[in-house]
Amino acid sequence: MTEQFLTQSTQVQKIIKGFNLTKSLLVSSILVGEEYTGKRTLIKYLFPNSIIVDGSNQKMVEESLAISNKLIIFNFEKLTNMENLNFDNKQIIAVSNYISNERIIDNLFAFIYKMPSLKDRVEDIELLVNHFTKEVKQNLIIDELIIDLDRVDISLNTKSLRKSVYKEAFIHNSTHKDIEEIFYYYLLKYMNGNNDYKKYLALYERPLIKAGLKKFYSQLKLSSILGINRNTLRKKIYELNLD
Amino acid sequence: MNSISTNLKFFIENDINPFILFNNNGKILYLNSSSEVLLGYVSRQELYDITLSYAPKDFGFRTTRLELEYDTFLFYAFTISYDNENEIALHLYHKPRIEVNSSLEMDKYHITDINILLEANISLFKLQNDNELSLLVDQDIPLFKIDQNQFSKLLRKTLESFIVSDSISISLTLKIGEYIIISNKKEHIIELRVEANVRCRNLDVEIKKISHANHISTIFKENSIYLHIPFIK
Repeated sequence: MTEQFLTQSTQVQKIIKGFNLTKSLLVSSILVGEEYTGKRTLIKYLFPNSIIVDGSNQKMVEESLAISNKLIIFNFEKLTNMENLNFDNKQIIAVSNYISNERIIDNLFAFIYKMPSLKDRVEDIELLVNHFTKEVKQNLIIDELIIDLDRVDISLNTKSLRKSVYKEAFIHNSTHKDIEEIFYYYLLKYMNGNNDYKKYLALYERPLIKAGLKKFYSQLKLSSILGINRNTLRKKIYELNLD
Repeated sequence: MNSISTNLKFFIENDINPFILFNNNGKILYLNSSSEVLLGYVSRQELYDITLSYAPKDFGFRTTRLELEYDTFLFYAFTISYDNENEIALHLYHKPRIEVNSSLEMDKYHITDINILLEANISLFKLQNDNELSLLVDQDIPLFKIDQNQFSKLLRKTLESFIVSDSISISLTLKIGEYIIISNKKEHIIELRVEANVRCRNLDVEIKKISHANHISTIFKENSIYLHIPFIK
């Protein structure tokens, strides 16, 4: 399958420009950035035919360097023999989650690119959310899915973003039966105490009252909707720390 | 002394040290080929003023040890001589540059479009500094042999020296009439000038080290760096 890379970030576009310009040259470059920022996807997209080796397999890296003059090294930070590597007359593209030794990296590589994390390229968040929304709709056979960007977690870059999209899809498309089943399996796994009725009742009561307050604003109206005494509702709100 | 008839002009003409003969009005009567290049960087008047200031009190010659710097030219001493009222000569002596003993490892040198390397490095630099950058390149510079990896490192470090600068101008030209001798072969020079309003000096040592290893001479100025790159075909 052909890799694609989605971005609207000017920073990333400058990195792409740099790699494209040096595509035919024998230079060593490294792309450094947090996990799940799309480094590997970008490199595979730019160099679809190059050999890829993993830095966690040092022997393999050494052997590949001996026979190939064009090589991609993923997990470069895992190599323990960086200092002894020789990239002369080769096109080396390394990908690393961090710079383990600045002096060695500076010495080994002509081009040192820093991949911005998603929090530094907010213009890509919506683009990626749309991409994963499409994927989710296709995979889970959902017709409509609207994602609230404020609820998207980017703490682990695309990994948490993608998870957020799947979670939202599930939340907004679960049926009464799905929720019952979730409760069932959850309780089956965790029920193991002596006061569990009260403990797990909160699983139902908390979202019920929270959603009710958001929807009807007043406790008086909510007590009438729920068909319970308003004093009982107030007591529940206090017990569930919702006040 | 036996008098011999020989054409000394030939030897002076090909001396790498500049030699200029002035008349008593400061007009140039003769200059050797090395002086022709020098006069591209310093005015005739300035050289004549030096000639008069350091001339011997009477007929004869006087050598003065004084460092003179004109752009990339560095002189450590000069001699002023005259034996009549109408002519006075200035002979400048180049300060020796550090000699690079190693010969080029030609297997690492590949025919390259220097503009591509420059553009890629500017793209990298612009990730850290988005200020105005002007680029003036001579598009007619033909492809020549470069150690692409080492040269890219040199470009990266050279540009990094201007990371805090908010106005950078880069120019790339083929120098006319100047050469560098590598392995007894005369090579033309490509000059890369990076000029700005501020320059960091903490990378100077590394820049010099990479330059020397690649037969590139580096000239550091207050707010600029010049690289003289051998044009190896």
